[in-house]
Amino acid sequence: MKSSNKFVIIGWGILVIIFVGLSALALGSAGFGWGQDYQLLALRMPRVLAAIVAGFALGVGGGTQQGLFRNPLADPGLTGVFGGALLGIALLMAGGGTWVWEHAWAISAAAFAGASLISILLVVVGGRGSTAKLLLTGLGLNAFAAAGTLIIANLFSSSRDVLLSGITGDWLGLATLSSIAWPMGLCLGASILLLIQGRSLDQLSLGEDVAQTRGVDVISIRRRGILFTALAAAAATCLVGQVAFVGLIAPHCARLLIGPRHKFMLPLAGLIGAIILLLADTLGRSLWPQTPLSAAAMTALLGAPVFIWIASRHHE
Amino acid sequence: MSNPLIHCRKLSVEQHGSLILSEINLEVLSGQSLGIVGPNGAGKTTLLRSLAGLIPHAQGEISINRCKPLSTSPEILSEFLTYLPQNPTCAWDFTVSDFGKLSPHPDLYINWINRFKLKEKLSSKLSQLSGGERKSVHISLAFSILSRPLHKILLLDEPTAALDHDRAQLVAIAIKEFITAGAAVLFTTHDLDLAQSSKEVLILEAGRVIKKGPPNDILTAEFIKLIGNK
Repeated sequence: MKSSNKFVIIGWGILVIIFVGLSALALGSAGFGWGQDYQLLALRMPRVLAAIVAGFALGVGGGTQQGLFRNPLADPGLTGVFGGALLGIALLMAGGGTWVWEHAWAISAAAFAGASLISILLVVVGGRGSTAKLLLTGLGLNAFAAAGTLIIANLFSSSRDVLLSGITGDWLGLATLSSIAWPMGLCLGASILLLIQGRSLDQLSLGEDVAQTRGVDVISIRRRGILFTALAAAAATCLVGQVAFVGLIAPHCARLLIGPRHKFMLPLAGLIGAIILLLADTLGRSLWPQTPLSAAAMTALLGAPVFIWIASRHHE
Repeated sequence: MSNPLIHCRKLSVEQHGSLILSEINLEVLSGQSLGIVGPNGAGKTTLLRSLAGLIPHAQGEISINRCKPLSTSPEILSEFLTYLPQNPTCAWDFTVSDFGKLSPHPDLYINWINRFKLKEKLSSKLSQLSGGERKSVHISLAFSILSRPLHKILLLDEPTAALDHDRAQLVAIAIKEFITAGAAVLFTTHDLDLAQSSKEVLILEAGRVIKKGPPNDILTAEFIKLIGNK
């Protein structure tokens, strides 16, 4: 496929985002419209912005993690990075009390610390083995982090509801412009830092030995990739809570549409991630307005069959 | 006499308590090739990886184009070194055409694809190719890295393994073209024809150099039996 065609596909992705974004701003339990004096628009704007930015970061982060591990089943949700971010937030809430709510940056920092810790453990224990070893390590770490978060939620009743809704990926409903500013900035920053790793990730697809002889500092790209993916996943967790499968599905769709070169695949994976998360959130709150379904539940409904399909096609 | 492009002295590598390479000395000048032969497990791949700077705990003196590969940045090394592993792989299912975008010289890559008679496969995905075709695509990528071969270095691990006769011959011809243009080529092989085409052959067994010299002198029936050539 010619490069010009790839730019056209990315352009179409941007147009779809604008269309879905405007629809999401207009659609809600009250029907279709922006309300008197744009009240509903103002109410929905933070939620829509948060879903777009978090989805973009998850798509780019998932594509990067798959590139780093040379593994099509890698995803920040499945490898425990979200769990780590949430555990970081839970520990901060347990120790910080009401102080936490006045310092949104501290929540992002705690999520980043937790996500980084889990990422490092993932690399140390399962990063150089088979797909099965990587995923099993990720599942183990995720279970450990989830247990830690649940114990803290149980012990500290003041933060129980918030943490439980984080585990079920239901934080988009809490979004306000002031609460999303920090994590949105981090999501965008991390996404840009990940997008510029494209050339190195392309060479890494040939294996670490070949990549190194093609001028890639493999240790450095692994460190940067893991760090920036942890930052993207942590910031996305602050916006949405735990949401699996977006980082898995978006890069696969992008590869099908545009090919595996990271220069084009990563931005398209970001756009597809944003579309998936925004659609999931909009459908979840519009189809069942009395008992809205979280974005994570909707993405899991879509993602689980895709995950099984990819797993059945993947050979070690 | 010009400086060797590839030089190592007393190169030793120990892994998990056993000695994989023991005090290897070799040098390859610009315009020369050296074929490494030996039975499986002799340490041929470890030798190539050590020279490419891929084994951090390799001991001894290694010089590649007067640089120490372990203390030189990969970016600088890549300006004059290309390395082809024994079983090259790619994590993603590129088309043959798109795969060439991984080279700094996609036009040279297409030339090599044409020479390997894979022009009709440009729109095919790597997964749709046979093992030999896929290996040829990886060789095309490795060869296309070097736009000007003078004083460049090629480290090729079993470049003709899995290739049919015509493509294996093309690799031998390509190696001759590179050395004529001033490159230094070091390759490992079990292919006697390829080994015979080299100026010098080095026989490695259990991590030690057994013999080194012109192929006609040292590729005797005894050694051919030892290394189990095809």
